[in-house]
Amino acid sequence: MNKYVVRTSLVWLAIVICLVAAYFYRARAPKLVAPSTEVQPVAIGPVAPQTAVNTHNATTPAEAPLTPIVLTPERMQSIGVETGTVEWKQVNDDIRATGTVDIDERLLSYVQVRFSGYVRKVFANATYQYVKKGEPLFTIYSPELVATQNEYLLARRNEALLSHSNVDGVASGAAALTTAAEARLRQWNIPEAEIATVRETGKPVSDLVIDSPVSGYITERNALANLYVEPTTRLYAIADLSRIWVNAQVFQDDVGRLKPNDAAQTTVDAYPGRTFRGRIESILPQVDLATRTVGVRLEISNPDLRLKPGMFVNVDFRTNMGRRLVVPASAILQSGARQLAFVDEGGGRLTPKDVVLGPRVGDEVIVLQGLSAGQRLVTSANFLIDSESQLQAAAGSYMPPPPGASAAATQPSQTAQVNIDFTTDPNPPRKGSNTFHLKLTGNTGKPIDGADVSVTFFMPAMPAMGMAQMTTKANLSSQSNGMYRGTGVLQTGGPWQVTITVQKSGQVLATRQLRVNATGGM
Amino acid sequence: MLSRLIEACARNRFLVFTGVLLLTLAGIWSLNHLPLDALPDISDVQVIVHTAWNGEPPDVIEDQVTYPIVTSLLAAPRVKAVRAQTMFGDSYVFVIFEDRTDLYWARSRVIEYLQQIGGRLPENVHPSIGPDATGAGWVYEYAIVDKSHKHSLADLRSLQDWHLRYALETVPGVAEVASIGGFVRQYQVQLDPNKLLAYHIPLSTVIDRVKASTNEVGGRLLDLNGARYMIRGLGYLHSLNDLANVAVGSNNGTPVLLRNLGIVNFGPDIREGAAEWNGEGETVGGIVVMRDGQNALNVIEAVKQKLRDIAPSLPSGVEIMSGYDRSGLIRDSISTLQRDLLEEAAIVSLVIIVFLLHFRSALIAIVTLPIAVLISFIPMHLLGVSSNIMSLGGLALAVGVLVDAAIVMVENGYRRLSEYQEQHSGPVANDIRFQILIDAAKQVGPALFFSLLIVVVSFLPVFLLEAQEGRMFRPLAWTKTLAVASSSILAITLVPVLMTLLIRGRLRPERANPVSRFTQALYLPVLRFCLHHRVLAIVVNLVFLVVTLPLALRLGSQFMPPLFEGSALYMPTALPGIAIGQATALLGEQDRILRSFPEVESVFGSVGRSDSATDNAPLDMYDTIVMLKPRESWPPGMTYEKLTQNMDAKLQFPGLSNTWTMPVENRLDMELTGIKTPLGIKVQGPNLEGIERAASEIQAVLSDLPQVRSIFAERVAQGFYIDVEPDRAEAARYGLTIEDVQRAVTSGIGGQNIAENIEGRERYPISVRYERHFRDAPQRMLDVLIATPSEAQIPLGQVARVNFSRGPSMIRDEDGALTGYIYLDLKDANYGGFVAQATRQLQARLHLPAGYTFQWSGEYEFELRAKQRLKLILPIVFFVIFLLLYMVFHSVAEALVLIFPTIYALTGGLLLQYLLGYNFSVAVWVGYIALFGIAIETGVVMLVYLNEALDRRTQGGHSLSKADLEAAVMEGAVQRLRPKLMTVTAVLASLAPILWATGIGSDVMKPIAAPIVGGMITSTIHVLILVPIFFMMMKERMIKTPMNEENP
Repeated sequence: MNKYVVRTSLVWLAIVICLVAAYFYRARAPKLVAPSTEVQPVAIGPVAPQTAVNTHNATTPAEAPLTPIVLTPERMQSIGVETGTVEWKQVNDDIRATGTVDIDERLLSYVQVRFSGYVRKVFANATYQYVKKGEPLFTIYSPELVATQNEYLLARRNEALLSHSNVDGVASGAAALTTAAEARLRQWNIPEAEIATVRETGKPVSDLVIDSPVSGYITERNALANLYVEPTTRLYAIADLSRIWVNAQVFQDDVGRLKPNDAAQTTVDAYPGRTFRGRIESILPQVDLATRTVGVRLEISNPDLRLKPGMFVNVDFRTNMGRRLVVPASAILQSGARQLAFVDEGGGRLTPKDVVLGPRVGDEVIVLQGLSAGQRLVTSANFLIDSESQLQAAAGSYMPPPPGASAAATQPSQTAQVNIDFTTDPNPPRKGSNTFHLKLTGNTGKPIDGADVSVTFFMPAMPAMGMAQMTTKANLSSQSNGMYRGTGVLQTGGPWQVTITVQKSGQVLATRQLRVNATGGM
Repeated sequence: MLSRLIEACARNRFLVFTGVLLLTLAGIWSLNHLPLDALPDISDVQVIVHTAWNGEPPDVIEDQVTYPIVTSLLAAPRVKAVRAQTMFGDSYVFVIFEDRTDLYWARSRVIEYLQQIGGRLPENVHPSIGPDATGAGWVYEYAIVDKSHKHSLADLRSLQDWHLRYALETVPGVAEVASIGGFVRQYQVQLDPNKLLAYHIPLSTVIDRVKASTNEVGGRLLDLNGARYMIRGLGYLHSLNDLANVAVGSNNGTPVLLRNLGIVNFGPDIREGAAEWNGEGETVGGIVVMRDGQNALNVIEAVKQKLRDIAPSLPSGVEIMSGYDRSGLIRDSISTLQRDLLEEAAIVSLVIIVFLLHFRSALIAIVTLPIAVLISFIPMHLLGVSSNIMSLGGLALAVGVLVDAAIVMVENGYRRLSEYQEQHSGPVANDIRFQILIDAAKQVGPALFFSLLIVVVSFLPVFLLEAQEGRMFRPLAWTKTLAVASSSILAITLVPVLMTLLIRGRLRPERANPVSRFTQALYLPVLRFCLHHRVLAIVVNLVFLVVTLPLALRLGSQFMPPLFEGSALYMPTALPGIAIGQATALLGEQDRILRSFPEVESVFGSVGRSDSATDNAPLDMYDTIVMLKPRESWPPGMTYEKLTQNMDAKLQFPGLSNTWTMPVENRLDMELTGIKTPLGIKVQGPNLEGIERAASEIQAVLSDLPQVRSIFAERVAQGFYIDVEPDRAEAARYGLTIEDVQRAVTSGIGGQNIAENIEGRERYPISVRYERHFRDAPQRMLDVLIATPSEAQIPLGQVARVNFSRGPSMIRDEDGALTGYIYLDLKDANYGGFVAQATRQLQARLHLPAGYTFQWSGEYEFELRAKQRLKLILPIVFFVIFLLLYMVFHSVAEALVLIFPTIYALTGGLLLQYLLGYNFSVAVWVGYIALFGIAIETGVVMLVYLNEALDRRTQGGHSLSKADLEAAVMEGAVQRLRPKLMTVTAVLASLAPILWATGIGSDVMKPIAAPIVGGMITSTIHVLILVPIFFMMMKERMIKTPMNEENP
């Protein structure tokens, strides 16, 4: 290379180096800070502006707005929409509780003697033996009783001897003695038959037979042969199980919904499929401190003795709540604090309704507000319908019918009046700027001019993909001969939902929804 | 120096041949060892920390798991960002490292930092790092189909989980095999609370007893009679009956068994995903995830081979169907590009033969081409660049340029020799021929070498692309650069050698070449006219420039041109909160509809997520792969767009919004976390309600600004919740703690997997909870019993309230702060100005509570950064080009003249791009960048010849007249038309196959090729007409002011 070249290139190199250095200096140079004697904080918290927008109260996150939607039969079928009705119904409330079978205290008897003595023979000699009323249980020898009997016999004899005595008071005294002795025997609860036997035979009965006072099961037996019995000794307890008690433990929260005489069904694991019906006999006036439950006592007749004391049972209380407006529980979508039902108004029109609900009863739920009897409600795929409604609300695509016109009547006639022919340039549209052409004609083919035509493109958000919802609105300006033209920018390729609205002097002439797939990638 | 190298090479043929042969062999070896894939993996270097916490809602997991993990990882070295998503039952933390961090180094850092927080996480929660793969590694998916309908979904899932999965994970290159769909079998103990009450057994006792009921232990050894006996304590459950007979307590000596307290059966674990096959019913699917940087094609083949090997061991009636197979795409796209390359080579060879009409000379260029390509594979292999559409595309783009140097040199030598032959009739002495050829090579060699260097340098900005587009186009830039570099080296080493060997014998002079005569006859009058009407010519050109440039404004823009992958991905999304039953029902319906299209080969539908850490899809997201039949078998007139349009029309489900994409594209998209609109705002703060409030305030403030087209603050509370809220006072009354109440929620209502039963190779969880009937409605939940310290059992309803509410279905956590997104769309593209203005507005009108911050985000960040870089880099690149040009021509003016063709190249590129309807995309820009280099290169060739012609005139030493100048220009331009046309035609012809190719993979290359083709046409016109005009004007001025005698 010759000198010239070297020189020129050096000059150029120097210039470039200067330029690059200048650039870097500008980019890197720190902003000059005025020197200060105070220690400067590295960062300063924001100073609240005096007129800060106070929107804290106003902008509590609101529930997503919903709009009515119209679905074609095919789309309804594709998600399997089913309906149920709102109706008045007699409803019962269920409270489930556990309980145990107990002996009906009213049907429990003890066997005791009122005198002391010795048990001689025991007939009812096993616990849980069944005895009938009047069946002999045991015999008892009571010296006391024998003495009393002898006394009685003596008194009788004396009475017989002295009955003819003329001495004043003797006959009556003897009679009184007899009566007193007999009364003693009676007070000892000696059966009349035994007293008669003593009377007839003139001999005391040494082994008195004690019969069962009631029919039932011996639940307790202390009578053993040769047992010395005192009046305090409890020899037998006999329970009649033909009617039993079920003591249900109901949690205190539920007790208020029960009242005596309510029906209750009892089931026992031992007899699957069998229920025992009964009624609430009483609600006990005490909460069990240990279990925090209130006892509820049922009386259940138990003719075949299947319910055995001590059994665990499940009790199902039914309380009558009267005639209430109910809907199938599956018709309600719990959307946070809001409860929604979708009313099927026919023709694929589904309207969301906020409802206020009462308690759920079985598969149904009581409606307090928001619905009326006879309305048809969507009972399946509610979630999807709710979503669609939210999407349409976000798209702003739903056009309420003009006031005064019923939905069913106006919808088809409107679309029949106006033919909308929509094309895009390029076709299909692409990401970026597009031109939209629209041709409006009446049903006779006559072009319609001077209408306000707007086209809204909408794409819902896909949070999982980090994609926001997008809308583009284009107002088309009227050309001649029913032609309208306008431009709009689509932010991305992909499926767009397009809503075309045609208005003339404030009146909605027609709306049309369609879908286009824009090219150009996300 | 270069001249000496050329001479040295030509004199050492043997060494050159040996060197080239060795390099070629090394190139072939490298080619065979390059990993193959369809597209480069454009995901960040990231490590996913996945934590499963069964059955917990997002906010609980966020507070107790995600937040500790995120905060601990923030300080890890080289970490660029930590983003997290928390969903029901799962937490995903994405740790994104700086570019070019080694993945395995990054993974060990993550493990290191995770270790620090082990103790801060809840019990039984164990974070694990995801596979060394990304979502782009989903190369193969299969469905397990039971044709006999004898096996339950739980059986199939067991087959997948315990048999197929491990077998396939042994295949080299497979990072993970994930399962989706079916039921995970679970031992379920379903308790009747009434019975617990009746037997006075609290739930906790049952849980303890069940936990203690399955284990086996060893009891060391016993020596007996000289033998050694190993002692073991048996105790695994062998059947449901074993579990049912576990004693949980005793009642007066009578044991209370589990079966007395409820039902013991098999049931499904919580499902977070479902799979479906062809609309025929639910199935179980497997996803083969390939390890990072592996050869996808080999992995898929090995997986398929393994599946064939396993087939005989499958239960009868069970078949494994391929649901998604990327190998077809890879093979098709690679073969498309290979075909393109071959076609290009053939066409280029043809062009050379036609122009030279001398086969042996043509052979020089034809031989150098493949050698240059092969040699470029060596550094590719060393750099770990995989062979994919992009890297092969780089080669395809380079082919035309690769032969340029050889063409020009050969042409020059050929012409010189033929001229000599003409002057000295008779055979040429070998040494004279040799010298003539070497001189010819030396004459153009340095200029060619530099012009190729310019091509390389001008392409450097592509390497500056960052993030996704950088990763996407870097392979292309590498291969193109490497190939051009190797060809420029070959041009000064191998080509001179070959010239001396092959250009011999009787050569036909250029005048005798009909092609040259024809083109010259066409060009000469035009050039003469233009030289005489220079102003007119320049004005016409300027007008053309002015007319075409506005076209640029009419074109849209996009990230990447779509690649037709031979399969479609139908991806509808529902709103958050859909239940699995509803989702599955829709899935079947969708698949049936899709299957009914005759173009569809198979449909593999799935919803929700698999158990892979690379899959963070929520349950509201479908992911249905539709494998399409080859395009040839489609009905005539059917296109992919039309097909998806038709499918979309049939798949209108209320409440779902459809998305159509393609599997690879989608996986790449899913990798890119964060805001995807150009502009967005991240609102960060300590709680979600506050964020939502702040976001809606920002929305209110910004929506007033005129530039805003739309603004949308993401709603955080999208999920449905049932809150069980303990009443502390009531609970205290019964002596209960909050934990006691919550245990009833987790165990009674939720049910926990409290133990695992080992059954041979398989392991199944055991869960305990209340019978369905006792927890399937909020009212019934109130009846869940809690054991109090006084041994009483009270219902939950007495100490807690149950409410419905809305809450987050997915929680974002970025760098340790809860985050909400606001998406913005602007009417103009001045993002920087808008951000400044909006920030002022927000500062003035917004008062965020302490702890809340907002920051701007979105793709505009990249754009800003890229702009910053370009501001710095572009001037440097232009200056380097300029310097290189200057080194060739030693003239500032000439170097400047040569920069002009780029602008004219732009106009032609725009025109063709507009005609073909391609949007602006990074791909198109890459095409333009490539174009600039080539345009300059052709200009260089022109100037070389003009200068050469001028030199001849000035050799005599006499001064130039204007007529001399014109004659020189005419000679340089017209007589040397052939080499210029040859290079241009080679470039154009080589790109033609890309433009007309229809195979899979061609869609991506077309937008890159289009601007080059269009630009080459206009820049050729410019080079042929304007460069001579400028040259002449320049030289004329020099004649008038002859101060630079030194200037040649």
